[in-house]
Amino acid sequence: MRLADILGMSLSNLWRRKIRSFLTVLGVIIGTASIVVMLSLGLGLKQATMAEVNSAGGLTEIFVTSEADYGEGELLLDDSTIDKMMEIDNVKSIEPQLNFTLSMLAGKYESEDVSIIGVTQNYLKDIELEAGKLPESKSDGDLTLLFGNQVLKEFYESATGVYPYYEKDEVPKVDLLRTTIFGGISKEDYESDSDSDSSDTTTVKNDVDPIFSEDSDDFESEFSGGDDFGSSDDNSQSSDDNETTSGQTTDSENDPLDNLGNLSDDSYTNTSVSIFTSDMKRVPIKVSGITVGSESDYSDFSYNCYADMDNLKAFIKKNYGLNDVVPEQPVDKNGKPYKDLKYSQLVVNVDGSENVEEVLQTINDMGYRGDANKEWIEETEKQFMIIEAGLGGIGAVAMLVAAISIANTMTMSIYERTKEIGVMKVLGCSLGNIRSMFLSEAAFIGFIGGIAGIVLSFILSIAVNQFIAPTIMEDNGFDASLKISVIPPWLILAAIGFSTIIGMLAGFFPAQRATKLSPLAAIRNE
Amino acid sequence: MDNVVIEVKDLYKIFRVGSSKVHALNGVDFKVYEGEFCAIVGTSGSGKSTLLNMLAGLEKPTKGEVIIDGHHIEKMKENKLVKFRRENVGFIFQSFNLLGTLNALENVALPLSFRGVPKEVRLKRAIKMLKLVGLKEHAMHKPSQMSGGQQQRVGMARALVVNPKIMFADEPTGNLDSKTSKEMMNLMRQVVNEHHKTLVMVTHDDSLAAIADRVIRIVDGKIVNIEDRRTKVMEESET
Repeated sequence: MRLADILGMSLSNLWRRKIRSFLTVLGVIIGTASIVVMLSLGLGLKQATMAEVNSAGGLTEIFVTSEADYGEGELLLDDSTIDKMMEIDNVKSIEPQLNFTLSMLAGKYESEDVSIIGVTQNYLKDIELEAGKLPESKSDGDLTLLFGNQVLKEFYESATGVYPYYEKDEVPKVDLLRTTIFGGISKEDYESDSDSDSSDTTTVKNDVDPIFSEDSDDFESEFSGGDDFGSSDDNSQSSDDNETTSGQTTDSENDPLDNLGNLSDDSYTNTSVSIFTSDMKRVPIKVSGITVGSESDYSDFSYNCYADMDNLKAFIKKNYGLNDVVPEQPVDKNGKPYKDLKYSQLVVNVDGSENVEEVLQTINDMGYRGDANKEWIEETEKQFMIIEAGLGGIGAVAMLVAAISIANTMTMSIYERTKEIGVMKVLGCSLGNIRSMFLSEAAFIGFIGGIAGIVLSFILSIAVNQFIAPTIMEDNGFDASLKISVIPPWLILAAIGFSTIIGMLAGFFPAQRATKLSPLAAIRNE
Repeated sequence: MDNVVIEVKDLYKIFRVGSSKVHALNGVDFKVYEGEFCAIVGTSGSGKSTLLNMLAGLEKPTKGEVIIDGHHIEKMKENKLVKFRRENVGFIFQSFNLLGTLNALENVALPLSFRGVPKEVRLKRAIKMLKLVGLKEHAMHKPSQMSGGQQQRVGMARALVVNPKIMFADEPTGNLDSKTSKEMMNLMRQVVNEHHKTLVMVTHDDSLAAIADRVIRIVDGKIVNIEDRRTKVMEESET
């Protein structure tokens, strides 16, 4: 029997019992739609996550960090490392990152250690701004920062030490773009320039009661535990201040004040919790821009300040001597700083995602620690597969019920057509053809149900994306325009194929039964 | 004329009903020749239908041989039997057994579709057969739109369409009134004569059997009498 004839007979038999066929198909529609919609939610979630990954580096980047073991100097990242890595095949470019921290004073607020990351202009250009503009590349030594939108949360009142954000639930009111911000370079860092600076600094006499200054003693030693070390020559220079008892903390007159903003703090330098004591060198810092979002909005760039790499390097060079320990920079075995600046991270751009693994291997063989998003993505994909399997499993319950309903319909249909099957057997229809006829009937139920189920899934998917997705995505920190339910083409094909196969599986035993019916049924007269 | 098409040797069919045995066929021997209209006559329960079922390979004999065209039917598996029927046998049912979803033309063409004949070819042949049984104008009618006599003629066309060596008819007039029964019998007679088919018909009606070439009479699973009508007719005409 020709395939077209078998299919034709199956279809006409389905058509003969429209209502029953429709109800059975309806079961498959619901089963298919429940699986597809469930999977589409998992896929949407995965896509949203992957979109986040892509916007934060994509698949072709390798993040190289040093082993952070200060004893092994050869594993630190510096310009020579970049030169070495550039020689690896398929490496397109390398972008270093330089970590740095600085105490900052903004109006009446301050923070002890604001994290500053020196990055390339190429990196900067991808950061969205709320206000202002990106820091320019310049090497004059004046630091210009792009402020993270949440950095101000970590500032406290210089006078009281109260964190407005955590204790009063309000963000420090500082107009970053218009206020001059000061960075504080503490004495332990600041050393070699003191001679030249002392000439142009204004010496402010400290005329506070000894009792108070004793209080501040305790406080200072608490805050800057390492003060005694490396500050000895400073002390000797400033020992002319006799009002205080201990030599350790009498260096307030040596405060290398710059010409601005010193007035407000000075009066309570020693009575307050401020770390901007007189021994701290103050350097003005410009804020060129603020990253996108309010103080409570999270983005990848919220918690740090960003500076142009050359700008930051020039700033460090200008303010720290060769023997100074620069914050966040590693030291060698003897606690001495290295000659050149070490990067905290290198971002190695590979020319294609297929080469990432090879380059990563080479970098790891060189002794550095490389991480690729790709690895993380593979890991994440595994997790999403488990999630999808779970969601699909829930949907599969409805499909199982639909399959049972197909089996039921087919069994009934075969009992009803016992005589007809007998006649066909007497007329010479082969057993295989009879089986094919019923199998294809069941397959049609699955196939039609699958197609209609896909249509239903699309309707549901669009509805979910339209009405539910924006709020959910926003609540979970995703881009609101991302879809929560995604139906890729392969899922359409897989769903239709799956429902068809389910139909055939459900129809298999009834069809088998049909081939076993006796042709004598055709002879019997009822 | 003397080619043996069907040969039945010592055929037994024993049914078990509870603990007792019922001998539906109790040792039957006969032959059917090519181009012959053979009627098997018996009362209800005589075993005539069982005999026909075994000739068509629908039932297995308990003992004995059925040889059709040199093939041992009783030894065939169901797959082979279906194939055998598809290629050699046409069947006319008492209750017509046309498929309700198909029209007359499609019903007639159905056995050809089992053979994998393309649609245009089989519809062409089906219309020829309908013409032969005089139902060309009813080709597009569904069985429910036709009378019993018309339906049986469609059944006849369906049996003929595969150009079978042998045709079996199981009480073909059982559901028809006497007038249409007569017409049906004449049609069968005509087909056998004009197309040289071998036809084996089962009936309980002696008067209908009278049209056959040979009449095999069965009582309680045994042949009691084989009457050759041709020689009789010849003898009658001679006298």
